[in-house]
Parts: sequence; C-alpha cells; structure tokens
Amino acid sequence: MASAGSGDEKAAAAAMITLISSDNEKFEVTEATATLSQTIRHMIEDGCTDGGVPLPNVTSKILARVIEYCKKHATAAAGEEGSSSSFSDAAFLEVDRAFLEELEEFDDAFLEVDRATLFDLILAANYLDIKGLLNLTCQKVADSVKGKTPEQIREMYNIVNDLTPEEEAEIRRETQWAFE
Amino acid sequence: MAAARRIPSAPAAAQPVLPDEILEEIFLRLDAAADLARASAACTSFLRVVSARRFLRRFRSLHPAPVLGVLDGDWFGITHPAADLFVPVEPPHLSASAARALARAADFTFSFIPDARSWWPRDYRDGRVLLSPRVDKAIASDDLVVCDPLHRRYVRIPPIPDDLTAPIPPAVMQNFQPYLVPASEDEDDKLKDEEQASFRIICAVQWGNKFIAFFFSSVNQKWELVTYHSLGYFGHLRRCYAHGCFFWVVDSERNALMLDTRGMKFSIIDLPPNNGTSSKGAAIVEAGEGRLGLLTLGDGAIDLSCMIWRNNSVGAEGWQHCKMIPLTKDCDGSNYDWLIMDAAGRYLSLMALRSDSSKCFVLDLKTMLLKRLCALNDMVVHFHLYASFPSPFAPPSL
Repeated sequence: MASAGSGDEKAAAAAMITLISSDNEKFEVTEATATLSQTIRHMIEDGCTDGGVPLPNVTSKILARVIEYCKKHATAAAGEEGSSSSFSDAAFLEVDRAFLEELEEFDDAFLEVDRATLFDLILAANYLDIKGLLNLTCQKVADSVKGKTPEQIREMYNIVNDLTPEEEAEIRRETQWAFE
Repeated sequence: MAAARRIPSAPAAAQPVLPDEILEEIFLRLDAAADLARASAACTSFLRVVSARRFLRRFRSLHPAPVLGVLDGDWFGITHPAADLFVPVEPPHLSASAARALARAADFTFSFIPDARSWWPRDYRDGRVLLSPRVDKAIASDDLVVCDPLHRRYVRIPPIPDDLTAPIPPAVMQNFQPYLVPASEDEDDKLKDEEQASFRIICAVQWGNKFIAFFFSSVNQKWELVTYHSLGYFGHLRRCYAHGCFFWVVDSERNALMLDTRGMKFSIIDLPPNNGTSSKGAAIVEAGEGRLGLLTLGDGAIDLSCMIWRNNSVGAEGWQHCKMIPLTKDCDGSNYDWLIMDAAGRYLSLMALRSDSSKCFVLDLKTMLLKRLCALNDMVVHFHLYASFPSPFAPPSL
C-alpha cells in the first residue's frame, strides 16, 4: 500500500511545469506544487502549459515566496492522503499532529514579512486562486485590525482619511457603541 | 463643499492597493461587529465595502449574532404593562456597549403596535419578537403579532381558522404555546430568507393526551394543522430547537417529542437513561460535528451527553456522556441554585438564583465558556435570550 502511494507521488513529481514571472524569471516546479493554484490547475487541464506559464501579475520576488508556500503545503497534502488511507492508529495520529504543528510554524514564519510584501502575496494568492494562502494572508491582515481604532488602522496601513467630516461624524454616531 | 475637501486616496509608495473583493475577504475574517464598525470609519473604500448589503449578508451568515441581552418572557403576562422588557448585557461583558446601544435604539415597550399594553412577548428569534394577547384582554386568544423592536415594524398574524381549531375546546386553546421557527442554518436559505424577510410560526397545544401543532408561514399567509401525537400526559414542557427540529423535553422522562419542521412530522426520541432532566431544566442542542446534545444540570456542573444525529433513527444506546462544564460560584464562594432557561442557536442561557437576587449566565456551546450576562430583577421568572447584530448591521427583519 505504502509503496504504491509513493510510486504515484514519483509519477506526479516527474511532471514539471515552468512558471514565468512578470520580470521574465523562470521557475521549475512539480505539477503537485503548481496545482495548489486553481488557476494553473485549469491551465494544465486545458493543456496550455507547454512552453511555460506566463504570470504577468506576479514578480519573481513574490512568485518565489508563493512557490515556497505551495511546495510545503503540497507535501503536507500528499502526507495526509498517505496516512489516512491505511493507517489510523495512535502512532500515526502522533505523526500527523507533529506534521500539522510543523506546518503551523512554517505558516507563522512565512507571514513574517513587511506590509507591502503581505499585500503582494494576497494579490498573487487571489490571482492564482490558492485558497489556503489567501486565507492565511487575509487572516493576518484581519488579526492586525482587531481591536484597533480607525486612526490606528490608517497609520498601520498608510491609509489617507478621505471621508468628509460629515461622513465620519455620521459613522461615529451610528456605531458609537464600537468606540466606547 | 464637502466633496471639495476630499483628498484623492493615493496610497504611500510601494504599498499595493487592495481591490474591494479582497477587502471583503479580509473584513469577513474579523470576529466582532465592533471591529467592522471601526474599520468602516477608516476611509471611503472600507466604508463602501462594509456597508454593502451583500457583504453584510455574508458576514452575518459566517458569524453568530452576539447575545445582547434577555427579553423578559413575562411568563404569566402580569408584569406591569408598558414596562421595558429588555435587560441589556452588563460590563465587563464585551457586548455591553452594543447592548446599551440596542436598548436605546429599539422600543421594547412595543409602543409602535396599536394597543401595545395588550400584548406580551412569547418568543424571540432572528430579530423578531412574537407577541400574544395578555390573558385578561378581550382579544381573540390565538391572535398573534410579530414585531421588529429595532426597526419598529410589526405584522398581525391572521387567526387560526375556526375549522382547524373546531375540535379543541376554547379553554384549551388559551394555553397554546407559540414559537418562532429559527431561520434555516443552510447558508443559501438564510440569504434568501433575509432577502424576503419571511418567517414561520408554530403554535403547540396540549389537549388531553394529544399534542397538536399549527403551522403558519408568512410566505403563503396560511395556517395548517400539522398533525398530532398521542403520548399520555406531558407534564411541564420545554421547547428546544436543533438540526431543523423542535424538541419538547418532558420532565423526568426518558424521551422527548420531536417535530421535524421540514417534513412536519412528529416522532419520539429516546433520551439517555438516568439523564437528570428535572424541573431545573434540560435542553437539546446542536453539539457540533453533526451531533445532537442533551444538557442537564448535575452536581455543580452542566452535563453534556451527545449522540450522532441521524434523522429519525435515534435510540438511547447512541448517547454518550461527553463533558462536564463546571458551574461558577457567587463572588462570596457560595453556590447558586441553577435553572436552564433557553437554548438559542449556539447559546444556552441559565438563571443563577440566590435568596436575594438572580443573575443570567450564558454558555457558548462552541467554546464551552460560561459567562455572566446581567442581573435580573425578582419579577423575571422566564426570559428569552436576545441575540442580534447591533445597529447598523442588523437589517429589518420584517
């Protein structure tokens, strides 16, 4: 059972995809890694990945980070499939837990980026339709906003207050309870 | 003038601008309506995203409405008329300021309903209060009104047609129990429901050894006699709602009567043996992971028993004791006398009694945290949990 599983993995690993960033840098990735992106998965299904997949919206700097994320999570997905198919004993659950913890640590470290990079990662995750990465990055921004005043939010994200004083007064009046 | 003051929202260099669809994804991941309110006051694009009806519907379908207080159930309809029946959550509870705002904005004396003093609240769900005539008033006893106290709207429910109630003696009909059917949990249905602001009512009445339910839908404005079930005497009944079904737990009994609101069929389900259902109350709830839960009061703790929920194939052997949630003591270290009051969605409310005072507590069934909500005056003997989004995030429910 286990050897059959890893054989399939090897077969999948053999299929390589070339991703081309907006600044024309080429990245070779496995199909398993690339198909975490629904956008690329559809291109593979439609058979239009020969000669590489141009990603004009993603710079090489951001694409390298996205691939790093996908590699880690593609391995995690493969690991999960392997363990749930034939093993369910305590030892395996223990391995799963350790793996999930490692994945969480990876995600935490992955999010240690400056604000501009975080926003670029969100845009790339949205464009490439990578659900896990979009959730992770959006949650990071949401968590940073929790409990903050509008002034703090503006300062944190360099937002210019373009509300008229009348508009602002009205929101404050309507949602006075949120400021008490 | 105002427009001239606007500064174009050119963001600082090197920070990309997030389109509205992504701002929406970010704001959906905020937990509290207060965070949403403060974010919306940051700039016009945030305000635009947060104010959109579509966004607010999505936010409400992902986050449970917070408990903002309790509505005095006024069990016998005897509290002095025109009293404010809403008791807001008190500090240090996080919802205290939103609860005070609701108390200011809404009208819980129901003065917007003609002849307001004739009505008393019987149930609360999804922003709507169901009222029936006080016992001493000369309105037909099965008259009902549904109102939205925040938006000050009401609708009168047509009386149950005589041909449906004909076999039941009028004195029995006076003891009917009206309930609002909670909005469907299914997200699509919920979105649709809010769009149409439709609701359903069930009126249950016990007559001899029969249990009869009338069903009203605001969509076709019609009453139907659902069916009845015969099962000896029921004693004191408590209503619960989980997985689209009403349950009436019978005191000290090993079973409960179930009414599936989709198929409108009665059946009996077994409860665990020695389950401790008593006059102190019991509640059937959704216990997560597709399970049905039974909450009972034990010694200094709430006991939770669970079973896997499969429609209509329920038996006592499936129940398992899952958890004990310790009950809090009063600040002087003495024990309260506890009563289970009302289960609504993911919340269970309890009354904690001392000889001189009573307090309302709520158990969050997802986090299993028990929190104090508010003190209750000694006139309150029964109440409904009031969960709602604060204004302006609560749409009119009628």
